[in-house]
Amino acid sequence: MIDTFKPVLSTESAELFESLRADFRNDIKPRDAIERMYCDDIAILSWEIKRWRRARDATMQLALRNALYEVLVERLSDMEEGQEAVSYLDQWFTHKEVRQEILETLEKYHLDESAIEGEAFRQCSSLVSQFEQLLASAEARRDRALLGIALCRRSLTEELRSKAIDVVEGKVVRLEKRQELPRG
Amino acid sequence: MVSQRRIEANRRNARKSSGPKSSAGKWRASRNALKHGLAARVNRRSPNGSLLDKLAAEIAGKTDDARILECARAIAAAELELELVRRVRVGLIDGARVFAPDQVKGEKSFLGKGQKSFLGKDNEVASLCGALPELAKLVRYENRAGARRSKAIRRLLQLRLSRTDNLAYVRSH
Repeated sequence: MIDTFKPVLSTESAELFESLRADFRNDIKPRDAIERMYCDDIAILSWEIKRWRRARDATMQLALRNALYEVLVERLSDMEEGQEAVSYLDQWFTHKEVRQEILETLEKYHLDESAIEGEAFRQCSSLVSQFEQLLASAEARRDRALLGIALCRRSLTEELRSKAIDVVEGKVVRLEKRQELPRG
Repeated sequence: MVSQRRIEANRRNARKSSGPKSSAGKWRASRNALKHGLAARVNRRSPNGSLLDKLAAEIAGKTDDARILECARAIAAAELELELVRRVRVGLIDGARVFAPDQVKGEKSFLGKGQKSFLGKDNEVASLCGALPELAKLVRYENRAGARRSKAIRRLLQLRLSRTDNLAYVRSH
């Protein structure tokens, strides 16, 4: 509705948002100001939903790195503390051999990859649940905007039907009046 | 019992501190309780007044029905409130990235002393996490403005429909 407003962060692309909004406008084809308002809501909320999902997933990914250090260095004391351990553990994400070595280390303690994932979730669960709440809220509002468009269209249908009946009845009235006129 | 002298003294003192006198003072005092303004309704006197009028006219379309015009104004005001909340949200996240990238509540960093936060510095995730508590509070204001707008839209649609019905009735009789 307020075309100049773009809910993009300084790290996001305004062009991509404009493209998303244009796609929604093209698909929904809003017929009046209210429908355009709902249509823009859907674009903005979809953008925000993508943002919250991206943040949630990235937070979990980043927490995995910390979890590797926590499990192998702090809890199991299998490695020496320090930057060397951090650099080695970072290779979990890039080197298959290192990943295999770490898994073998974990096996010594009857653990597997899930121990790392569990620890990662423990570390970032508070942040993830807050992102989930924002996500749920944005999804609910997007659904309401879709319902809003449906309501507008239904209202328009009823309005048009009412007008159509009016036209038909108008014709009937005119026909009746014609019949009353003397023939010949 | 309070003496007459005390009552008179109280009255004299009360006259000395009965609030601001000048219009500037009154204006300043009227904003004493203002925290962020998100709970305030956009009105005709606000700086967005002209935008409100423009938006309301666009929503109402060509009509002179006072009830429809009133509904259109309510929708426009709620829409501007929604936009304000969204602007604040963007500002909060960008602000968190620039001003306090290390202050992330809820994050448990288990790296040793001297190690940086697992979220890193100067990235989007850290700024989003940094602004999370305030972002959660904003949801309330966004939902409220959204609900207000939906209510006004439903009323506008009903009015349009009843207007069409009434016109049809008038024309057919």
